Amino acid sequence: MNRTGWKRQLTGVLGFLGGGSSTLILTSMGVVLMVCVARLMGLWEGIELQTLDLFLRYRPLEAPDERITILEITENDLQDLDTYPVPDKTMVELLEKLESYEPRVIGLDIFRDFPVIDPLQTGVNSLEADIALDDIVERSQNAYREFTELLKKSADQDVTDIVVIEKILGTPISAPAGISDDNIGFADALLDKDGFFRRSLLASRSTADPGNHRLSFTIQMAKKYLAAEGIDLGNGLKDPIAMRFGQTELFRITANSGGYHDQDTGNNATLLVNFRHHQSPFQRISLSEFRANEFSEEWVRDRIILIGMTAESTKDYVNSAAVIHTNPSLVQGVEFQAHAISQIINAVLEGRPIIKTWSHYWEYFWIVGSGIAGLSLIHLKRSISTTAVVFIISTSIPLIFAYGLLLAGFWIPAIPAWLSYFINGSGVLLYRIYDYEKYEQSRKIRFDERQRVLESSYNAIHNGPLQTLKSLIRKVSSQQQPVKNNGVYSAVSINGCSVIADLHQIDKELRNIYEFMQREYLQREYSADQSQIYLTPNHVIELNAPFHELLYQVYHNKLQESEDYFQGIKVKISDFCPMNEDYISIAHKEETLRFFEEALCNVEQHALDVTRLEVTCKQEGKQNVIRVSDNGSRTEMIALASGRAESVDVLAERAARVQEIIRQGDGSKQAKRLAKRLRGQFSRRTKFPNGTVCELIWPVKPTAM
Amino acid sequence: MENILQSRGQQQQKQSFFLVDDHAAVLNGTAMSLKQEFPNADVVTAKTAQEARQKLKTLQPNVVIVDLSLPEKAGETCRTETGISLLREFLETYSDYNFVVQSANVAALVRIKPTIDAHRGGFALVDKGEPIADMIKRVSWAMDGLVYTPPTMRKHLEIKSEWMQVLELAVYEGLNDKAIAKHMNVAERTVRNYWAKLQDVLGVYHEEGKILRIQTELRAREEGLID
Repeated sequence: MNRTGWKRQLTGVLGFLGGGSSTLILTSMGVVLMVCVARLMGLWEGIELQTLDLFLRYRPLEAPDERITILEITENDLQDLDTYPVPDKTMVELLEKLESYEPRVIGLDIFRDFPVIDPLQTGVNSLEADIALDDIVERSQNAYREFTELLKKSADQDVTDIVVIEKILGTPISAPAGISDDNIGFADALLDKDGFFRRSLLASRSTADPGNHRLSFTIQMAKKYLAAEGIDLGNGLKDPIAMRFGQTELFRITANSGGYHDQDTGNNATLLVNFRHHQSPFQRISLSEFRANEFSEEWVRDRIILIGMTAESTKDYVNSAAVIHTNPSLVQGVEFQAHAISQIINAVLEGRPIIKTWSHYWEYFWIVGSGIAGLSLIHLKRSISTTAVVFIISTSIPLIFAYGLLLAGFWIPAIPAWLSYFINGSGVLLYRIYDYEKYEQSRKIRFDERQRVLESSYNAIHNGPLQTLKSLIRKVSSQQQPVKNNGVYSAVSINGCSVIADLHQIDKELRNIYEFMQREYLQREYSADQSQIYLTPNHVIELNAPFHELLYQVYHNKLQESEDYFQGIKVKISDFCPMNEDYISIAHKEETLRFFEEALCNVEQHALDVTRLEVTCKQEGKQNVIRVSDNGSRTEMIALASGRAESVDVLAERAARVQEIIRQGDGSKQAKRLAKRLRGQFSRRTKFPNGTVCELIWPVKPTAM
Repeated sequence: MENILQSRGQQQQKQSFFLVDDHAAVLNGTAMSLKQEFPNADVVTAKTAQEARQKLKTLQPNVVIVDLSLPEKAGETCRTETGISLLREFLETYSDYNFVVQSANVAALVRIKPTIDAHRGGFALVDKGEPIADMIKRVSWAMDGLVYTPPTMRKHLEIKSEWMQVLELAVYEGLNDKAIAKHMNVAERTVRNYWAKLQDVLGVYHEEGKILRIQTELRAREEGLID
């Protein structure tokens, strides 16, 4: 509508994203922006390329490619030949024999721009030992002529095409003279800035002759192979500069495609090599095996045969980190060509993915989106630890997504997206922790406030309405002599209703509110305090009070709690007198109170027919004494002494009693431990004729004993 | 200190009361009622715990009447804790004085029951809602060295061994107070205090036309304290 409306909407969206914290939003968006800017500057290029290599290296295995066979000249072959380069004569023999097996296309990945002088020809026949050097040269040239004729013939006649290589970038190396351009492909490859080969150059202008647009060895080979299937090379439909076989467009990698930043492409069509993932992706035949017929005919028939040097001494290696190898960074040149050709023909014939990249819009959308996903963790309404676990597990999602897409043929920025997710997610976590602490603080402030309000309301009720009400009750009841003395006043009545009864009702209700507030106040206030203990949730004991008063509170509380039982005891003699508590810690006090409570519970649970209960808590001489003495008979003794077991029920009950005694024994163990800590003694003994005395005695001064 | 205990025949003598309450209205109301009942009475008042401590040092009142909800100093909020601490302190320091606790919240006193039990003077509790007449009655009981606590506090018939001993010596041996005191090696006054405590526990109070000691014995039998 207008500017403010739009702004409000944006603020709303951002507010939702950041869970209401603009700081969080700004920080996280800043982080995402920095990640994006860094990527535009090419800072992530190295790590993105390494991630690509890593992902490619850890793909699921593929089957070996049965369309390509490498005829390799190994170090052993060179040693057998006892010469290098491979003599033209040998090459001719090799090619002729190959053609007899009718492969679909032969690629000669060896430079042959001039004759190879064959020094061995002199030594082969001793009769010709005196042949002059000129003659040797002439023979060699003849052999070379024979070789080139063979190559030409392959192009013109109805035999297998042989494609040879040239070099067009930098210092050119030409193919053997007289061969048609259709059978020549350049072998130049583009090195990435980090020195690794990942791209295959498909077409290029030659350095020496910029008007001359040349095709690469890879594309020539693929073109010839696919021509036999009736599939021709054309220009891309989506991208007119790209190449296309049938429906398959060879995705053009430009200087800034995917993770690349300003890579040299020579402004030419390049393809990201989707290496075939297998330990030995291509069938190999060595020269000597071939000569000795140690190969299967089907390895050659109707296949692409790539002839290349694999002898270590010839140093035809390239660096690649994406293939499985004992030394993954070293790949033979001929194998690299095989991978590139294999990728194209398999993409066209089998639909194997060509590696594509997203447009920059999508790439940055993905990075920003990951950042927002990380930020959205703020909406996870779980505990901080759960959020942390979810976050840690979910950090792998961007990487898994990127890996999955690579399998489908898309190279997308994995690390930048992961980074923006990770940083934002950690930001959210830190924010949650910080927020939690802030919340705790403000909760404390609010809590204190609440306590103040509670306290002042409590005092207001106590000093105001309660007092007024009491004096009102007093006035009314003093004017009229009460009919009964028992607290039931019925003298004053309005229309038959007793005013005093109503006033008492109000008093009771008000008092309930008042007591509720007091409980709330005490509970909240004391819960954080070490010097308080809870007897029951509603009964708090302040440990700072004199010890005998604390003990009395426990006693009183127990009597209230188990009113029915203790009402039944006729004589309850209690003696709570001040004790020396100079040497008893708060912790020991609390433990002692628990012990005392337990002792009273034991009376209730284990003693029958008690008519007299004596409780003593006082200082006797140099000792503090807590004694609980009853005159009841022990329930478990009755059970155990009740003669023969007459039924299963009785046995079971007896077993239960024994259990109880054992449990009680545990209580004694605890009491003994307490006595030891107080450097005193605990005893439980039976009295004559009936009863039990439970006693804890400890010296007033620890050193006194 | 002895003279406080010569409180019988109060009508002729001049009584003195010390009133501690932070409520001016209560203070005035109570003071007025006391003066009505005891025309010659001297009434001193204090509004805070601090003031009360200060004044009681120089006073020897017949009865100290305290509220439980008190501020420590003027201007501070009233807290039951403050009143309870003050009462505990007074009961321990002035163990022969007679006390009446006037409060809207007598249940809070349970906490210092052992101290109340150990007190040797008269002691009575009165709820602020009870009629003035009852309050006056409690004050005069306390002045007589008697003990009154509300039924909620004596629900369980909790007695101390000394009180039991007094009861047993009187009932089984037929001893009078003097003989009991000699037997127990305490002052006769203490024996009378024990009787007062015992009577309170059993809920036996002064009634026209009834003999207190006989009533006490009957109730003790009823409750099963003695056979």
